[in-house]
Amino acid sequence: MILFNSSCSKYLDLKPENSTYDEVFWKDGENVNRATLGAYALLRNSLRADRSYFIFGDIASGIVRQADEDWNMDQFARSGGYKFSYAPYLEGSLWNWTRFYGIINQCNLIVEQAEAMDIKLFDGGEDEKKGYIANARFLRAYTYFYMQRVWGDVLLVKETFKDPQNIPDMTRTPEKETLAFCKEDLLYAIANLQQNPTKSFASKGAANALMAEVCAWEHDYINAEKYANETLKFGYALEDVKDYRKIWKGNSKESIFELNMLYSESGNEFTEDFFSRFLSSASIPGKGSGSVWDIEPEFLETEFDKPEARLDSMSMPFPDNAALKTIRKYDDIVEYREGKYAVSNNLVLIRLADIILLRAEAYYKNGKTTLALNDLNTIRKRAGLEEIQVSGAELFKEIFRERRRELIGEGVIQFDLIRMNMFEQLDEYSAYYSADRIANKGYYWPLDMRNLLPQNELLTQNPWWKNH
Amino acid sequence: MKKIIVNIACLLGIIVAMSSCKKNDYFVGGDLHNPKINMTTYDWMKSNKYGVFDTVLMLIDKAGVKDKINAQGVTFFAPTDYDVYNYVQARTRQVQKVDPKKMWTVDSIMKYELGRFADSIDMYITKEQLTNDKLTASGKKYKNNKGGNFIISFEETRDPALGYNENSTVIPRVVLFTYLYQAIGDVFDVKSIVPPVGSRTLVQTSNAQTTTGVVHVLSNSHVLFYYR
Repeated sequence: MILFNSSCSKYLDLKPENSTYDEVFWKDGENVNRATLGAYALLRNSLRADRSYFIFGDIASGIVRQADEDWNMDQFARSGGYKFSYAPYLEGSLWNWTRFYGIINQCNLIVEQAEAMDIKLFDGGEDEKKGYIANARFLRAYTYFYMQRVWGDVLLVKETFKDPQNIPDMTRTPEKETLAFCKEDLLYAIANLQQNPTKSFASKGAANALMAEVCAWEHDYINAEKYANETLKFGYALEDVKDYRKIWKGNSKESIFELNMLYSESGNEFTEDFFSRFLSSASIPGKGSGSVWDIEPEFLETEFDKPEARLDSMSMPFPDNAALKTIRKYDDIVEYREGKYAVSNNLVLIRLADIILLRAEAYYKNGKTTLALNDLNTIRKRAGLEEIQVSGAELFKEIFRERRRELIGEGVIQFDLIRMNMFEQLDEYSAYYSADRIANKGYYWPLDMRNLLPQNELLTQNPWWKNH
Repeated sequence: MKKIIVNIACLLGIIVAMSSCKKNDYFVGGDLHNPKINMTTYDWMKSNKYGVFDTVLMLIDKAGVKDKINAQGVTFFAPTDYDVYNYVQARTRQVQKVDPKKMWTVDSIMKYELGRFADSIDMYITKEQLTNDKLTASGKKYKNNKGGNFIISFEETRDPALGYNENSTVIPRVVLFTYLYQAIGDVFDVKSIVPPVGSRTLVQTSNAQTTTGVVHVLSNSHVLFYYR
């Protein structure tokens, strides 16, 4: 009896033991730093889920071809005429944006809690505090902008929910309002971020570059030009074509913002099967040929019709077929256990060549065609192509075609297609994108209404996918 | 009565115990499959119940090279009808670049290319009996009858489609036929060979030992004669 009595009090914990909560967590700068790292990890996992980053950018734009065994991608890839409404087993990642709200919530939490903390709690004082907030606001802007580009109008949640039991239903926010919110965040980030040497964290340069992208998306090319020019002041430089693949090995001089996925013995940022989809058995011994994504053969034949050093550097022929080529931008392999191969590359989200081509686009729209042509030829020269002389609408088209050659396998081309409105200009898209489909924004992905609607009864489907 | 039931139960138990003993071979694995085939290479290919060699054999007959594949003591890397199909497809794409209405068919091979076929079939034949027990993971270089080189290797695969399973420590092995376009030294890493150095083709059925030689059947995604 005595034994029982004495042991009892120890079971009555007054505080949760193995999880943290607001009052004890937000007490010093070190913990805010941990929360920020957590936000980066959430972004990394969200983009990687089911390789959705590459599906949204590359498979959906028809320049990368799905593997033989990806039967469930046949419909939404080029082979099925970009029918995004059929994605068996991939609904959870391609139609559902819930994972991105995890990032938004984390960022909202950091912004609010860090804001309320006293400066004395941070070793680095005011600068450190603002740095964390700026990081969170940069990530929040990146996330909302990304969601906007994938699914169209989002549900703009600007702060954490005080009462998680009663979250009010809300309608989708117009693009203008979302992007205005992003730009507000980015202005804060530009003012308060440092220009740090590690590219895997937000920096002044990255915030400027993202700002340029947001402005271009709104077709505000005056500001796009301005922020692209700002970005270029931070000393980024193009890698030589000989070292082209250095860009994805981490902290290259060309990278502006990237996510760390390098292999380390203790870390778990790397994966075996995210980048490896691009690689054949020539890179990963024993890999099956049915699980390899390659450059869409027709695209390869028509767009890479002239020999170029860039293609030689970033691609490799199939082991059993010289006519097919795989992308080897991410092929730094580490055999970390017998027969287990990690791909030790970073996912570069923004890089200099991207911004230079974006500036060319802005110059063109602002009537500065000579400067636009200069920027285009800078990228062509690095790729080992001769300079070209084009003008008018042809120049704009050529900028887009150069973007496809330069940025293939980097998850962005579908968004370029939408922004530059190239669906009607090129045969490979015009057959599938009718005027009706473009008018009803059929270039965005549908939402998984079966799962999302019960959580928010005011949510609406993207118009084209209501009946297609 | 009770005694009888107990007796019957005992008897049944003994029968079950005895009969389950018999098929032990099945449980321990081992190789019950017999690679020896009591036919010539040509006849074995002809006897394929799905007829996956009939076009190939027709071309072999027309070109009059039956003796080449039936020669004593050779190894033949046999292409299938699918490989011929891949070839005429690739060839059609090529001729259509000049004239979009033209086609290249098996008839075209028989009309224009039998000489070439008779000559090129030598790239799949070597004067050695390459049974699977002679093959290694890193591969060995051999000369084909055309005078060119190829590597044959017996490699581990981690392709689930070829039988790999993460939960098993036994890693399946497959034969790969690496045809070399360019000359390479004696020290090589066969796994990393890609065009333009060489082309690696999976062998879908290996180690068929006929009365005349050895047959390894090439994958259906192969393009006959490595046409590009």
